[in-house]
This record gives sequence, structure tokens and C-alpha cells, in this order.
Amino acid sequence: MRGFHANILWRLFLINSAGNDRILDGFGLFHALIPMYKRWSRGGERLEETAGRHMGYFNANPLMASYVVGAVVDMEEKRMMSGDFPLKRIDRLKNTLSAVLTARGDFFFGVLMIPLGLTIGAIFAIYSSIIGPLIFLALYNFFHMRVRIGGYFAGLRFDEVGWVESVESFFKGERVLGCLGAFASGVFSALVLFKAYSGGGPKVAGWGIASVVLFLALRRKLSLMGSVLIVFVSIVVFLLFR
Amino acid sequence: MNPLIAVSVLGGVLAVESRSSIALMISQPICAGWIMGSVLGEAADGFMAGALFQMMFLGMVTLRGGRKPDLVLGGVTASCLYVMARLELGGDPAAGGIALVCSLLFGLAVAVFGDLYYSRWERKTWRLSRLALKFVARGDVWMGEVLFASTLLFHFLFGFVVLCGIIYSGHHMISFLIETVNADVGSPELLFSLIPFIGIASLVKLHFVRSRVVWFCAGFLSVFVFFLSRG
Repeated sequence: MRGFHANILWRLFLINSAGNDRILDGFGLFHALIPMYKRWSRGGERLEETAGRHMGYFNANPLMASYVVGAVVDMEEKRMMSGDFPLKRIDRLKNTLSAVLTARGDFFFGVLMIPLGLTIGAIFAIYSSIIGPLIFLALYNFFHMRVRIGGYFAGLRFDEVGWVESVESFFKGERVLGCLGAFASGVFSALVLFKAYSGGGPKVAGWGIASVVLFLALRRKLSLMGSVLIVFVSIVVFLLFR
Repeated sequence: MNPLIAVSVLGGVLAVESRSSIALMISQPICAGWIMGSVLGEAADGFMAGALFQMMFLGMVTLRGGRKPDLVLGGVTASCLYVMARLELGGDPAAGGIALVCSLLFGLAVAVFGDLYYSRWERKTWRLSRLALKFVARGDVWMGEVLFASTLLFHFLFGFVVLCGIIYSGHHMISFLIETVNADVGSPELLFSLIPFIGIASLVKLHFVRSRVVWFCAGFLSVFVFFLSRG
């Protein structure tokens, strides 16, 4: 049994590998559930039926997908045991869970955790220290592994009382992380300003502030990449003609 | 092993780490730059270029469905080119500044190319899943696994080939530029003072919302108070 779960767990780490515009991570979900198909095809159900049901549209944050996969395995197991577990319920719960958890996961990791960690890394990088990136890796992977591995096993207990609370507990520190991220960003901004002023004088610091304003103005109309490129070129031009 | 092949293989592995959602974040430019620098024998220079590249995209939010530049390959390109240029040029600060600017520009170009290429790839990959389903319908799960594994191989090869090509040609182009163009953008340290402002701008955009702006200002002011109190 332990081997069965380990086999699904390592596949969860690759779930986004075949991501595409049409079925998003459907192929990844199929791949993650292969141990389940193999197990139950031996139990009598036609393998292609089970596999076909899970190779459709699947939109989940790659990290939060662990909860969904755990829940799917749990529900499929119950269906195999009792035989009267409705298929529609599995599909409905899979879609609902992935939609809700993706929204929460994208915000938690994409908007709060990764920018916070990278800002800490950047603060130390200003002083050429590798400690910041190490803090980033430790902080991020603490939450990452909790979701990836813990999330799968939490998903297996999907029908138990208190499941929602256990998922909610993961996001408990969301507000604190947001505030920490903003605080770290403020610290980073001030340190960069000081460094520019002490290293290049008021002219360099002034151009830096002008770059911030230019970037924010450009972002109203242009993509991130376009804005970064233009501001980068403007900085190089300033340095060439300073 | 040839350093070019070594960094390209490592870059391919980091591309797999990033694209397959293993997501340990070691492929982020700030970490990958240090790794690449270590492989090439100048960890500090690799870290500097990687960190600068990362700082340009510090407040970037990557939500599903949105297009995002290929920061991994871009960061690896920038750090490798910078380290190789520094090893060739020695300690000349003016040449170092130009080398850093060129390396970052190459990195940005690779990031754009990766984004464009993968947006095309993501439009086509669903055909693989359709093919896998056909095999599974015939009871051949193993072929489904092979098709899925082929996507990992694709990510690796894409990273490997792009890095091999761009580092080889970029390295020679940077050397040629430094020898022929007589331009001075200052030392790499001066660039390190200015480019992080791009990161500040994206962080301002991210955190200037009602619930967090106070904390941003608190962080900013606390550094001012700290430096003022130290005179």
C-alpha cells in the first residue's frame, strides 16, 4: 500500500509537464493516477474506462493538485468497494475542489509566498550574500512539501469530519505572509535607494526613481516584458551618456 | 567535461525542474545563477548576474493561463555569459559593465523566445494526450507513460539546445562587441545600483493595495530610521 501511494506521489511532481491550452493538466492527472488504473484493472474494471474519465479537462494549481488527486483516489476506492458511489459525484467534486483550491493556491504561492521569498533573497543579494536565496528555498519548500505530500494524504481523508478545517489551516498565515511580503519589499526598496545614492550620488538615485515611475507608466499599456525591456534600455542609455 | 556542454546539460535539467512543476525553485535565476557560476568556477559572478536578472522580475506574479517570460533559461543564459566574459576579460571594470549589460540583454531575448515557443507548444500538446488515450483504450498504459515522459525529454532538449546555441554564439558576440565598440556603462557595481529599481517598480505594483501598502511604507521607513540612527 505504501508503494502504491509513493508511486502516485512522485508523479504529482510532474503533473504540469504536459500542460496545454485545451485540457490543461488533464494528461498530468492521467499520469498521476496510472498506479490506480493498474491496480483496479486487476480488480475487474476495464482500465480504459477509468483512465478515460480522468483524461479530460483538469485545471488545478500544480501544488494544490495533490489535495484533489488524494480525494479522487479516495472516492474511486470507495466506488470500487461499495459499487454504488455515483460517478457524477466524483467528477463534480473533482472540478469543484480543483477550482476552489487553484484560486487559493495561485494567490498563496504566486502572489504571496514566491514574491516574499524572492524579495528576501534579493535583499541579501544586494550585499552579495547567498544566505537570502537559501532562506527563500527553505521557506518556500517548507510550505511546498506540506502541500505536495501532506496535501495528498489529507485528500485521502476527504470524507472525514474536519477536512475543510485541515485545508483551511494551511492558509491560516495568508494575511501575515502578505504583510511580511510588503514589509520586505519596503526594506528592499529603501536599501536599493541607499545603495544607489551612496554608490552613484543623487543623479543615479534620481534616475532610479525615474525608472520606477517610467515602469509603472509603461505597465498601464504594455506587457511586463515590454516594460522591463524599455526601462532596462533607458538605464543603459543613461549610463552611457551620464 | 566541456564547460559549455556542462552548463547546457545543467540548464536542461533546470528547465525540466521548472516546466514539469517539480517546483523546488532551484531554477529561479537567483539560485540558478549561483549554481551555474559554481560550475564555471566563478560562483560570485554567476550569482550577481542571476540575482540582477531576478530583480528585474521581482514582483512578477505567475498565474495560470497568463503568459510569462522564460526566466529560467533567461537567467541561466545571463549568468553563464557573464561568467564566461569575466573569465576572458579579467578584472577590467568598464569591460565588465558592458559584459553584464550584453549578458542581461541576451538573457532577456532568451526569456522572450522561451515564452513565444512555449505558447505555441501549449497549443499543440493536447494531441499527445489524445494519442495516449488511444493507446490506453487498447489497454496499452505503458505507451501512455512513454508519451508523458517524452514531454520531460522535450523540456530537457529545449533547454539544452537553446543554451548550447546561445551561449556559444553569445560568448563570441560579447567578446567581439567589447573589442570593437568603445562604450562605457560604468562598473558592474553601478549597474547593480540601478537595475534593482525595475524590481522595486514591480513590487510597488504588487503591494500597493489597501491591505498591504501600510506595511510597505513601514518597511521603507524602518530602514531610513535605522540608517539615520546610525548617523
